[in-house]
Formats: sequence, C-alpha cells, structure tokens
Amino acid sequence: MSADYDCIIVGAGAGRTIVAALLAEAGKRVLLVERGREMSYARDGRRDHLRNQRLSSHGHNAGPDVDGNPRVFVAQDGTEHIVRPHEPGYHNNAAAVGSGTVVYGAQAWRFLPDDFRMASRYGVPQGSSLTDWPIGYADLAPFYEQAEQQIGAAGDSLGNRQQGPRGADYPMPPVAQHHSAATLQRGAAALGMNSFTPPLLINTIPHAGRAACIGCGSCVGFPCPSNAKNGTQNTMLPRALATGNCELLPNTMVTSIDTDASGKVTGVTLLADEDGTPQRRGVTADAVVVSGGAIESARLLLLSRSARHPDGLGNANGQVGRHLQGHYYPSIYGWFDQDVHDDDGPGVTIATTDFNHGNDGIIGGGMLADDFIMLPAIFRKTALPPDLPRWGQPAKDFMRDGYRRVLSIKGPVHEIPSPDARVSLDSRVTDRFGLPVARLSGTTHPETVQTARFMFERARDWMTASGATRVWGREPGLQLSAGQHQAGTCRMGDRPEASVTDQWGRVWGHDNLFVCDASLHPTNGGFNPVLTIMALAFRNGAHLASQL
Amino acid sequence: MTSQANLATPTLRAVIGRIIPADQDPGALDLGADNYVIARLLENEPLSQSIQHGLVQLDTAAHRRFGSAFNQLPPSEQDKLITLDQHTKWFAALAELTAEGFYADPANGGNRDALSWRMIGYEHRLPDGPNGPMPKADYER
Repeated sequence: MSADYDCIIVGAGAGRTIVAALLAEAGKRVLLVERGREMSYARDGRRDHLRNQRLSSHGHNAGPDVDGNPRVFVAQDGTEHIVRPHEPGYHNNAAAVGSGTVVYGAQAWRFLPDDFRMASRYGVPQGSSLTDWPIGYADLAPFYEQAEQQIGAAGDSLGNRQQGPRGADYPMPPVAQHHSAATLQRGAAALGMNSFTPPLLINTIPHAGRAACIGCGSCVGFPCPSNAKNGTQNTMLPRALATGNCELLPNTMVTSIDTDASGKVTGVTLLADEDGTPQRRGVTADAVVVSGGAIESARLLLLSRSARHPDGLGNANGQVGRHLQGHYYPSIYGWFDQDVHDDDGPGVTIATTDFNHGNDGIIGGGMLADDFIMLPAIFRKTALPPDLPRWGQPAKDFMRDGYRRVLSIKGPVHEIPSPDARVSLDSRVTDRFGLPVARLSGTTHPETVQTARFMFERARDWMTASGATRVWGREPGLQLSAGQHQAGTCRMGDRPEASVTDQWGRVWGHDNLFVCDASLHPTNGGFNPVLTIMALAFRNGAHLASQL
Repeated sequence: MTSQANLATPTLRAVIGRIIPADQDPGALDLGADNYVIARLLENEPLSQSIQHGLVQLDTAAHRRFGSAFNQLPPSEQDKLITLDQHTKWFAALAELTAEGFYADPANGGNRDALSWRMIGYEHRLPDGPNGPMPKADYER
C-alpha cells in the first residue's frame, strides 16, 4: 500500500520549510506539520512591549500558548520548577509557521572554518563533549551561499577578514551604519580591530518582490511591518506551496513518530485541537523529518517509545537530548557624554570576529556586535548600572539622559558542551494532551564560562576604547544555556555510539528518519546560528530529495 | 481575593508617584502607570498581598517617624521612608511594574500618548502608530 505522503516534516521553522520547498519542487508529496499558527503583521504585528518573544514579562506573542504547555526546569541546586512558555527557565523558541524567523533579528552569519573543528583545534576539556563536526566549512559553503541568495541576505562581502572562502557576494548591500557605529568604529580602530557591518536577512533594498526595511527598530520579537525581514514564511514556504505538492497543517501537534513491527518508521500521529476537542489521527509517509527545535525534536524522539525502542527512537546509545547548548551573551554597556544612539532600525551595525579564535589560553571565543534597537522597556530592565536605584529622580534622570547616550556591545560565545546539559522526559508533568513534557537540567561546561568572561573583557575594552566614560555589565556565571539559539540535542557524527544522526541528519538505525534543525549542531559556533541551520537544510534537503 | 478598591489606595498612588516622580516631564501618575500596576496586581494575588502588606508597614512607619500618613508627607520625607525599603522584594517588584507601565507601549495603559518615549527620545517609526496594527478592542483593554 502506498503511503499518504512521500515525506512528513514536523515543524515549520528555519530549516524544515527549506526542506519542504526542495522536496516539493522535486515533485515529492510533502506534509508540513506545525503546532503553532500562521502569523502576519496585520494580525499579529501589535507592538506589545511587555508580551513578545524578546521581552515576555507577562506573556508572549508567538506560541506556544502560555497555558497547557509547561516544561520542568531543574535548577543547579536540584530544585524543580514547572515553568510556562514566557517564563525564565523555559528556553522557548517561537512556535509559529516560520517559527523564530518571523520574530527574529535576522543576523546571517556563516560559522568560521575552525568552528567546525573545535576538538581538533583545542582538544577536549575533561567532562565536556566538545567535538568536531562530521563535515567542514568547505562542505557547507555552497549551501551558505544558497541560503544567502534564496532567503535574501544583505552584507559587506569583504568586511569579515576571518571568514572562510565565499563564492558569491551578498545579494544586497549592508544596512547603513549610523551614529553608534561611527563611535564604536573609532574604538575598534584604536585597538587595531577589524570591524564591519554584520550580515542580516533583511531587505536593504526592494528585493524578491518585497519592500525595503523601513527602519522601525522593533525586528526582534515582532513580525515586520514592511515584510522586508526575510524568514522562511515569506520565502521558502510560498515556494513550497506554489508547487501544489506541499500541504501545510498549522495548529497541529505530532505526538509520536510511528514504527511497524520491524522497527521501520511508517509515519506520525497527529493531534489537532479543533473546537476544543482533540482529534487524533495517523498519517503515513516514506520518510519523516523531525524539525521542532533542539528541545522539542529531542522530546518527540523520546516520546516515540515502543517495545522495540523502549528509550525512544534513535536513542539506543542514550545520546538523544544530551549536549543541550545555546549561547552565552556577555554584554557590556557604556555611557558616553554625548548622544551616540539613534533609533534607525534594525540597530546592529558594527561587529568584529577578531576574537572568535586564537585567544591565548581560551577555547574558542565569539563574535561581538552592537545591539538591536532596545525598546524603552527593555532598556529600563537591562541597561541600568547595577548600583543605580530603580526608582526616584536618579532612575528617571538616567532614562531621560541615557537612552541616547548608552551603547551596548554583546555577542554569542561558542559554547563548550556538556553531556549533562540535557532534555529528558519529565516523569510527572504532562502537557494539555497528557504527554510528558520536556525536562531541562544540567549546565554548560565550566570552560564556556571562562570563554564568556574573556569575551566580556574584550567587550569592555572595545567600549572603553570607543570613549565611554563609564562601563558596566554583569559578569557571566555558570548556567544552563539554550533559549532561542538552542542546539545540540541530536548531534550528527561519524559514530552511532557518540551521536544521534549521520552527517545527513539521518537517525542512526533508521533509513527513513531524519532530523533537520539546530539539534544536529555538534557545537553551535560563536554566532547567531540561523544561517547555519538554513545552510544545513539546503544541503540535507537536496540530499533527501535525491534519495526519496 | 484582592479587589481594585483594596489596591487603589492613596498610599499606593503616592509610592508610585515617587517611583517615577513628575518634574519638567510627566511622572508615573500623570501617564496612568498606577492603573497599569493595579491591573497587573489583580492578576497576581501573592504579589498583590505582599505589596499591600509592605504599603501598610510603610504607612505605619510614616506615622511613627513623621506623625502623618505617607501620602500626606512632603516628597523629601516620602523618599526617606522609601529608601529604607528600597531593597525589599515588595518595593522592588512595585518599582519594576511601575517602570514597565510607564516605558511600555501606550496600549498597556501606563504611557499615555507615548509621552515617556518623547521624554527619552525613542521613536517607534511604525506606519500604524506606536502599537502597530491592533484591533480597537485591544486599545480598550
């Protein structure tokens, strides 16, 4: 009997929508299932500064729903906390069609060649699971180019002196640099640092039938008012749907990956929540691609237990859910005695990659850049010096005088993973459908904290050299790291004992089960990971299309 | 359960008025941040209880030290009393809520006409106004 679909893709985010387009364009029948809903600016563009993916004090705007989708977070002292999606410790990634790409800032970094060979370059610290990728920069470079060209990146093609070889220039010129970049450029020059305009997946000129960025400065956390921010929902998804071969099913959970008596993957079980009554049904396919983000992808593999796979699919060696990582973001703030900030969005206009590698006594490093425009409520919550009272005339004076005089430098640190930072299934807490929820426990490896402190000092040096008269920030400490850059829980590798998939994202022991999201990243680079997720999807999607 | 009437006391408003005082620019009470705070507290009973308890103690201290209710004191004496409590959990939470309302988007109810944004020099640059597109019902929330 023939299957309902050639391929079912679970999750409609950064990577999987690309795979859907490639398969559908190759004539394959694709079902794209997403537990979240479709978001648009007209319907979901409301700028609620307290309930969004960037600042979720009292709720958020992209899914999952605040009620019925808890996780368990285990703190370092062993206490367990049941957390809701907008609360600290949940490590949420947007659940929506397009996922984080609808509400992201869209930095479009390629990892550097050495990011793919961390263990070879630095050795493996005791207790860490630092490892090389099973592929190198050269394997991914053509697919980085496809992502830049087909999703739509704007950047300075020659600016980054540390970057690996590139075949083509960015299709659009970089964002304009403003007041803040000129200030920080002086500091970079004084320190002999190479600085340049960071690449963004944002239309700096009209592109692909959509408008240019209008500079609103509220990219992060919200859908774009001019549809100039390039996510997968406005690039690859329309391509997939235009073929007529791809069916999109939003508002639908996949509760398990199904197998037959021989252990072969046959399809998935869907759960849709129409009119408040959960409807469960099975669909079959020749292949299944799991793309729910590093936490939910691991959870789904673990939930897919059977007599033959008592610990979940792909988990015969206990690797599923381990090595959970994200990015530390050491952040420095500096006060200048004149206005240095203007609120032309997106805001990130200057970066350096001089400290990603080659730091004495330090494993790896990270990129540093100025920040996206901080909304006033975010500025108030994060940018005030630690010794400033949070009330009264001094706090008001600081906000009034400081909003345009404070700059921030921050950046993602390449984490040194620990096998103990992990996603498992909680044995007691269930979601609204009665399924065990993700339980997050452990911390990154302590070496990550060393690197983060080193980067904190480099950010401080840069801010000081730029003329800040006062500099402050919070020194990084040991913690679990995941968040919107969550990665690592189904790592790819060369050996089944130490990884979950092969280099194509194929789950060991299952010819027709694939993972395609940042779960695959053995390490997560010292950069925003989305372009790497996209490049891997272009590579692995083309491979899968040739196999089906 | 705490009601709006329990919460909306002269002491609460006086404290909120000192968290972001009026000067040449509007303060928290001028822009409606007190209404924002009350709305949030009605959603959070434990925090509401803790803040009400803190306010009662603050008022007691006002009577003991200055012989008057907190809200009747001149600002300098109100600030002296708040300074003694500024590191308590209840006051830190109240200061945070007040600032949220005052600096957030106007539709949250504590930043009338986006006047705090004008004060600090933030421009939203959105085609549809400071809140982006939103149904009218949301404005009236």
